Amino acid sequence: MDITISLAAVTIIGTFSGIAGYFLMRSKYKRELAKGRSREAELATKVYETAVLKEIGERIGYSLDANKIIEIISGSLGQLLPYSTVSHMILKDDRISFVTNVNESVSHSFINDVRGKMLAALSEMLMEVKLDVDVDESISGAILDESGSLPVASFFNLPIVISGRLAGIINVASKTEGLYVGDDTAVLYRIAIGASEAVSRLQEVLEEEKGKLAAAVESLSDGVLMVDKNYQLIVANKKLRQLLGTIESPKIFDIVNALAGTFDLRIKMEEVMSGAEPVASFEIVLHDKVLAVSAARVSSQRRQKPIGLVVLFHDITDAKALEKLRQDFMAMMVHELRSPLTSIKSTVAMIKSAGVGTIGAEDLGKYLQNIASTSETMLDLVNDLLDVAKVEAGKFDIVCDRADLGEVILERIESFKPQMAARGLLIEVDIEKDLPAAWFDKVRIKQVMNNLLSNAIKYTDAGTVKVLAAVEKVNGAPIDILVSVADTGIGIEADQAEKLFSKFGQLESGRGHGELKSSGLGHYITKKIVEGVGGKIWMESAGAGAGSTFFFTVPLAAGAKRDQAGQNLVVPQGQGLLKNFTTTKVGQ
Amino acid sequence: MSTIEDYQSLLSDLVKKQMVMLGPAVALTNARKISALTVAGDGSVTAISGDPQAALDALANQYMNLSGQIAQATLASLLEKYPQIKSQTSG
Repeated sequence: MDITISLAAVTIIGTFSGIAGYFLMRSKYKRELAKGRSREAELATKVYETAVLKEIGERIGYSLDANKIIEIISGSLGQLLPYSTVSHMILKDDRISFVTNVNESVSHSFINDVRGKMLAALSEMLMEVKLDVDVDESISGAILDESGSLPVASFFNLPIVISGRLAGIINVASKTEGLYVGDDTAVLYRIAIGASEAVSRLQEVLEEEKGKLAAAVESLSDGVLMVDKNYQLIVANKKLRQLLGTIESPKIFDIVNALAGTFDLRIKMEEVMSGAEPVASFEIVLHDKVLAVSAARVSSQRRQKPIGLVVLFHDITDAKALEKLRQDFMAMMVHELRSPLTSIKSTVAMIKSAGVGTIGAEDLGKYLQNIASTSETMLDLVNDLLDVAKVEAGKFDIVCDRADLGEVILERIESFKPQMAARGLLIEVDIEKDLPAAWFDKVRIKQVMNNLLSNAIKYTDAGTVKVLAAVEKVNGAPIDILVSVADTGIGIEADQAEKLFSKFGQLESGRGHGELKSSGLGHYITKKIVEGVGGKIWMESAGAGAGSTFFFTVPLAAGAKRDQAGQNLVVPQGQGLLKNFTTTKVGQ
Repeated sequence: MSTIEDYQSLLSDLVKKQMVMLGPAVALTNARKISALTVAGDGSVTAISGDPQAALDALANQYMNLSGQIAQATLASLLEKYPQIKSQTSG
């Protein structure tokens, strides 16, 4: 009996254990199944998120168009959520565009409700009331059904933020109540944030590059104006603002007004933009400046469509002035060469017509002397022109050697004494005793002295020409020899002094002198020679009528060798006795 | 010293603003994920259990996960009205 009871108890317990085990196993299986489904759903969500972000990445490329992001997210919703409408609002230039795609037929009032909710959300996000702004509306998708008037029962908004600025929002709305309460919307927020971050990063890179470009354009020495295809101003750089005299941040109208009276910028831009005249170049005069203006249409590389235009303003005032100087110089040279030729021709014609035998020996001598001195003047002019041509071609040789500068100066003064006496000028010479040897080109420095002495005589009607030469010292140490040639002549205003040494110096400074004509190139050549030997030249004058003093320096022989070694001067090799020479090519 | 009423008021304002911005369902669902908060259907926070500052930070984080800088700006703006309350997430 006991055994029977025991067996029955074991059987019952075994049965219950079996049943309990079955239920436990079933419960476990269900939990595993639920977990599996959850993992599957999670995986599906992840796949969806990855796919949408990938599509956004591929479609936006290097564009920063928030529209595209919004379109892609809106277009992908069907895979994820039930909805009646998906709408987006984009903020651009103080306007709002509202686009709705109708998935399930709804009424106009439903769409108006969506619009109101989106404007309220925008106002809250921007902390600025946007309820009464103009909204451009566009509705697409299923046909609207005005018979039913179900309101928006469920909705949610997705803000799209690019670089910290709200670009727009997406709204998903449904007629069905109780939707969007679960985590199924979370993936969309993650996508929106992910896309916003990606575009923001791209925008930062582009902004940085744009900043570099803007800085480069801003620092250009030409005025640059850029407008888009709607003639909205994109760039008006600093130089342009200076040239036009506009305010710091001008509008396109300020620029058009600043150019009024020179040309009509609007018409020119329209001509260029329309393609009638893709590139235009012309010159204008504005605020005493000559500007070369060129306008060109800018087209997109991909589509070859005009996207704007650029107008360049290049200041050619100096170039124009230089061109005028060149022309005046040419005219002067032609005149300077023609005058002596005319004189020679007339003299020869006179001798010829009178007959050589009939002219007395004294008169004939005067005529021949006249021809000789006139042709000498011509030769000087031609030599100056040749020297300048050599300088400009970099073929003006300076051959330096150790020499006595005092000796050269005295020799030159001696040769000019007759001229000075003829003009009644006194000469004072003070050359330091035991002047050390200098390093220079004897022939060229003679040329320098000739130029300075002849000019001193030429521009001095009465008084004295003083020539000084002394060692220049710094802290007691000799550095070079300083030579000065001073006169009591016409002098020159201080601001014109530097111009004397330029190629067109005589024209620029207005230092012409009635009777004694020259090329005016002497000081220019002189400067090149002095600089060629390693010295400096300058001029001082207390003003017009107060005389002038020209100074130049010549290196000492001892110091020059050392210095010149470091200046890459050419030292000819294998020249025997001339091996200590240094030569240099003088160029512009 | 901030009172619990200040926190309740601030949290309620935050939830209500998010209801307008994100939509009521999303805003409420996320607010109700914060176990320390009891949130009514209109967005009012009716009770806070535990540390109110921790609850505020948790709610702010929850919304920032959804709308990032927008939520941050909203919270910063609300905190101006409650100078005695600070949030670690308000920037």
